[in-house]
Amino acid sequence: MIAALALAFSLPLFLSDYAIGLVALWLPLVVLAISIDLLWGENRIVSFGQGAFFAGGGYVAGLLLKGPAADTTGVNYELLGTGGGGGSTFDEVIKALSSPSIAGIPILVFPLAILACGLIGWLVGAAVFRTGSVEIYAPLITLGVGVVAGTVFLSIPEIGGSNGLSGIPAYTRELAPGSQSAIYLFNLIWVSVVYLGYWLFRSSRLGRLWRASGDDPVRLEALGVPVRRLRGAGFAVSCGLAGLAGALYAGSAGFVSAELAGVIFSVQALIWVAVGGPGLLFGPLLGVMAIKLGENFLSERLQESWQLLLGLLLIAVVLVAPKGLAGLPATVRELIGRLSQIEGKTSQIEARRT
Amino acid sequence: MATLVQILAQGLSISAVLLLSALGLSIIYGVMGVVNLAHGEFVMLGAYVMVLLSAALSPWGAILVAPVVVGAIGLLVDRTLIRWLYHEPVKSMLGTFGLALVIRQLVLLVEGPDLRYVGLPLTASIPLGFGEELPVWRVALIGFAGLATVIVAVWLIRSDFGLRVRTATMDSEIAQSLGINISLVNAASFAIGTAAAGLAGALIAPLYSVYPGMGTTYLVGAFLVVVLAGLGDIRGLATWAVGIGLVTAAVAVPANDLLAQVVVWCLALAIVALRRDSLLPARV
Repeated sequence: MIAALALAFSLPLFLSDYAIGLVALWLPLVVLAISIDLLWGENRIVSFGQGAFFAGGGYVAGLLLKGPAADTTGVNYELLGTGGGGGSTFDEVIKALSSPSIAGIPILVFPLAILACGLIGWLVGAAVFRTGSVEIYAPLITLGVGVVAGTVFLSIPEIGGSNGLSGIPAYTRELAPGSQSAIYLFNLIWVSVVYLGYWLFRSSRLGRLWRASGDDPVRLEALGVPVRRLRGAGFAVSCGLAGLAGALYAGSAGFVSAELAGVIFSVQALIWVAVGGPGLLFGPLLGVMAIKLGENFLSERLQESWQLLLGLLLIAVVLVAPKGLAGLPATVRELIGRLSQIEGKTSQIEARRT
Repeated sequence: MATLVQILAQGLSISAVLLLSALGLSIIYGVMGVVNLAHGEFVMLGAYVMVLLSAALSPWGAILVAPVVVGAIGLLVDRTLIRWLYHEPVKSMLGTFGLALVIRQLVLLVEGPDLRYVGLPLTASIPLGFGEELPVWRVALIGFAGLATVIVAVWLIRSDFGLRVRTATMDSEIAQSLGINISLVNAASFAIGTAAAGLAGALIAPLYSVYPGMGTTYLVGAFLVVVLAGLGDIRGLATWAVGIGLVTAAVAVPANDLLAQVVVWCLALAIVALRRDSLLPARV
């Protein structure tokens, strides 16, 4: 484990600047995948709206990193007719929020992104966990949240409307300007922290309670656990985590658009987790890396058929390998076990014959 | 007064389409425990049948053919994919979403991303006074959708096969032990559900633009109706479809579609969150 971590941190020594820039872009997606796994793998809640919170975090970070329109070039703002001169209330608020900063990183970005997404997630969760069959209603309600968030983001001119928010500077703009490796390392630190937290959470008492509240909420309720409140809080935490992932993404990609809130992106994120193996610690990491590597190699050649392939992949994973890549050893072991059982039986039968 | 009539006409035509697509979703969920996230794509396929055939067959012929074609595609999909997902709601959502991506992308590859339009089969409009006119097609749409819903309802309640479908909805294992051919019932229900979606698509094609990604809007609206009515409860559908349609139009006519969507969703979330008995556990 430590060797793997050391390798991850020394990766910029081996890869080209372009490759490191690509991998740096995938790391926030790992955080998003963890937020989905927290719900799906650990609590049996499938969310089709996780992208909405990812995009929300991205917009918060994008606005604060760019600062008030007057400070950056403001090309986008002028085009949109909100004026580059500043002075509007919106600009004032952004200025106030983005001014406390350490080494060029506006320190309010992460708490704000996490809290805003967590709060909205908590409100959505309040509705979701009132229903009798959370497993079934949660995906449907979050599907609507994703669609509505997408249209809302599109219609607000202050955040770029249908153009999206572009030209977002990196978090490492003052520490190491222009360096892809610095962005990679910044993201890697965050991913490591989130993964450490996730690992500790999974083996803690609270983590076991969380898993149990998904496995058998009725029994847990009978044992005196406030299941509805617990799951609501967990849902909010997952949404906050998605917001954090979005904030990291905005600083790495330099661009956020309403497309990230859409259902297609949310489902892609579900596919990463499905391929990696829901409920398995390294599932999110493996899933994101496998799909993104594949996409990088194939999407140039396949172009429009890539989404077709994605759909077929989703169907295949659902039908054939419900435990995903991280569960592949277990799936194979089970298969070998079954085969050896058959072998054992045939040899028994043969032994009896002789 | 003019606004009121406009709200009524637009609201009821939205309701009609919602009802027709929600009906299929509800039957499919009730009988085989499958949450069909590809339902919007079947609406889209119906609209494309209308676009492609209305010149050759006349619009009326295309409207009759659309449910047949889409139902046949539904039958094919049921036999190849959906039957592996029976009574596994979460698996079925992921699988059918994959199916939705595949259908959408295939249509995009064959027909291209351009917006398509169909002429109105009935071009006349009723003058309302106040300088406003009501297109006859909106009224016809409401009539057709209502008629189709009544036919499906009567078929479910009166016919022998409908009785079998209802038995399977109650308990598919018991139904099977009583000698009901459950796989026939499943396949037929899926075909009828998708045929209803296809009809909805054909009916709305003259009113809106037709393109490969249009399904999502109808899927989300139909699911809202089904969630509020309670999955598997067919009786509540009409009430909620009319309610949602009227609220949408009441906001959309004076303001805009976007605000209407947001208002409807916030209302729906509030209703779900505040309802005393919450939503009943869904049977799988």
